[in-house]
Amino acid sequence: MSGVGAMRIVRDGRVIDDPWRTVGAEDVLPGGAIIVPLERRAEALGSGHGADALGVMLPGSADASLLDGLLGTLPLVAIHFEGAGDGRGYSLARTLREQGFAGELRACGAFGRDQMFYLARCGFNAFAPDGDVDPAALLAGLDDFSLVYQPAADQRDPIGALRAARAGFPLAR
Amino acid sequence: MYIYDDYDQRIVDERVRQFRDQTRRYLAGELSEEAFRPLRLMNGLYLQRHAPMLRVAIPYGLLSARQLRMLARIARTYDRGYGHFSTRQNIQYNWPELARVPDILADLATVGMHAIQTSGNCVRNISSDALAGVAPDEIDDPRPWCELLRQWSTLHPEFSYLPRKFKIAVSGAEQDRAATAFHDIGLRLVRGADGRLGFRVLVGGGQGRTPRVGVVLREFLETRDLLSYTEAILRVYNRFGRRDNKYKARIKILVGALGIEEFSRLVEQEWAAKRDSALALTPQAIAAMRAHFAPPAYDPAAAADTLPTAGPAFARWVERNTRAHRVAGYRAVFVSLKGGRRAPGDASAEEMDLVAALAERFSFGEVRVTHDQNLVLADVRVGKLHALWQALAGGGLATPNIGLVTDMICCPGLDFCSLANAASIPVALAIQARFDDLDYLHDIGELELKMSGCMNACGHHHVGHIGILGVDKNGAEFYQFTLGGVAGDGARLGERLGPAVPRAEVVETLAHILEVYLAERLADERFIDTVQRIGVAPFKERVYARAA
Ligand code: SF4
Repeated sequence: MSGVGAMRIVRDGRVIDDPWRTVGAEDVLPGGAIIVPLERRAEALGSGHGADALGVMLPGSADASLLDGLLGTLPLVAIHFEGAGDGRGYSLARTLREQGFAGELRACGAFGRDQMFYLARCGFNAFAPDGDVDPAALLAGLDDFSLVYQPAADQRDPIGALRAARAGFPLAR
Repeated sequence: MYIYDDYDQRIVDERVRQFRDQTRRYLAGELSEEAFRPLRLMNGLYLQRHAPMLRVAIPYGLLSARQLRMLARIARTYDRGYGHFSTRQNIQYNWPELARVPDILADLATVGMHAIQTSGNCVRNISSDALAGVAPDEIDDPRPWCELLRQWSTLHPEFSYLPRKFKIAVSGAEQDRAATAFHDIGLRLVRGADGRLGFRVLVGGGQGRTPRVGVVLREFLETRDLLSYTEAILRVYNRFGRRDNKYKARIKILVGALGIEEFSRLVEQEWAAKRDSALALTPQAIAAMRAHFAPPAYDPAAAADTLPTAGPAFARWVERNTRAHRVAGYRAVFVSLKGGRRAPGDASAEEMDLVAALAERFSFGEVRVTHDQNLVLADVRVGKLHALWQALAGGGLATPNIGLVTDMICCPGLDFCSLANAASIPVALAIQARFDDLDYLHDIGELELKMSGCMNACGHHHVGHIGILGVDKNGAEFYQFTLGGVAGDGARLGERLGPAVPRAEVVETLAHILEVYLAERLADERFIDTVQRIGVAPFKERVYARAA
């Protein structure tokens, strides 16, 4: 991966050059903004990496508690989807947002434009799927639906809230 | 019934647009079969033995006459003139063409229908009691709660890639007619000690290869917490359910592995953070949903209606195919789709049109689909029963066999399903042909016969009073009998009778079982009660006598 130009990814509703480099379990740690497997975070900090240029990668199967105490410090959490049918990363992302994580939440691995709407609703704001996926198509997937039935990690008002507003009755809480 | 507003309509319209584009990309080779598969499944589209099969959602089994006419039109336009009502109160079309499925969905959307989440590893159609809102033993109408769950689960972003499919049933009556103990989540509406309404929550029930009776996860859940608690259960399942083996991926396996205490602890932990979130239901939201299911304008004069004396055939139909109603002067009428001419649950386009017209004439324009694969006109005046019976009989839909042996349920089996080990439809038809003597049938009385073409148990054989399971023995079709299963109250799994019998002996085996019952029953004891009293042994002796 190193040496080639930056990857094109989707972040915050736009296609951008990825300012982050993803580092594997065995790779030599480069300089600059990097995403490392969670297990390598201490090593990277030890070799002089600033915490604000150090993101971590977790598999979707990971437990959110692994990041206890780190959510205020981490600038980026990447969640890797092992297979298209493995939906654990959706719950992990929502849990991290519910626990107050405000940094970049990035989806990596096996997904495509048809999962974008759901991923974004679960709190992901950056998308870097495996393979040769056209970022413009990914963007289009964000708009599959203009309304939602249930509250999630995004800021949309669910239909229930729209109906309540129309009828003039109070919302939950 | 629930009528879509502009918001619901926009969602189904956008779903059609989305699926049209997905289908186009697949047919153009831009989307691999592997990537398209979960997408088509989440729109109810299977690739079957002969052609694709499209399953259309009928939320908690409730249809307007207008919707039923559309189902008929789809059968005529895109299929071979019929549809199959399933045991989960949906309808399946066996012969659509893949490229035209987006058009079918667009037609469905014009009447507020869709195929969303009728398959795939997501929350499926919510099922319920076909007598909801009219049963005299009802504690509370389950339909508003079903619709709240339907909306919450529709396109749920977190739960569209679960370990496996997820089925929820809601029952609001004293008697459980929704088999809540055999669903991933079963909800029973109950009154708490102080008279407040709530749910008893069962979890981990199911059929398939590892049948389980659901266990109580919570004795009493406040109605306001329905969605937050359900979401907490789903999150625990999504995180911890097995994904390495699809036969061990249902929530029942997780509940079994963790134990109900630990499972419950995890759910409570998730729920604590969600309980007071925007998922909490306000009294206004509940009232607004209830208003959609307000009773129709019953005629108070109906209380004075009397049943005409119009001969034994009519009397028998009234006794067998109608049920008590909570409003004086009304009955709920079952339309039997088990006349023996077609597969159980099949209805032709003409039959659907007829039932739609009769619903408008006799039952406030509404139709229900039962999980026994029949239809119900739930609000018929006693004074109109005779006219309705004549009209149904004219269309071949008045077979007086509801709850009897020939009202059996059966999955599509080898004729359509690529997973089947054995035929089920032809066997069902053979059984119906053999036991067509009405006097004999009525003498046998109430008996639930359920048949599946393989251990996936779509025909619910585990919970049949008599269950029949198709198995493959060295390439030949054999059938395993079970006795004593119960789907509703006192839920239990049937017990194996003995070795499977070859296809040619199924009908005779059944006849022998019924013979033993007739010989052993006390007074008007039902079949299931006799089995529970005397056990399986006497039946076994009779059936396998020749071999000894
Ligand atoms: S029980 Fe088996 S044969 Fe019957 S429909 Fe289900 S999967 Fe197919």
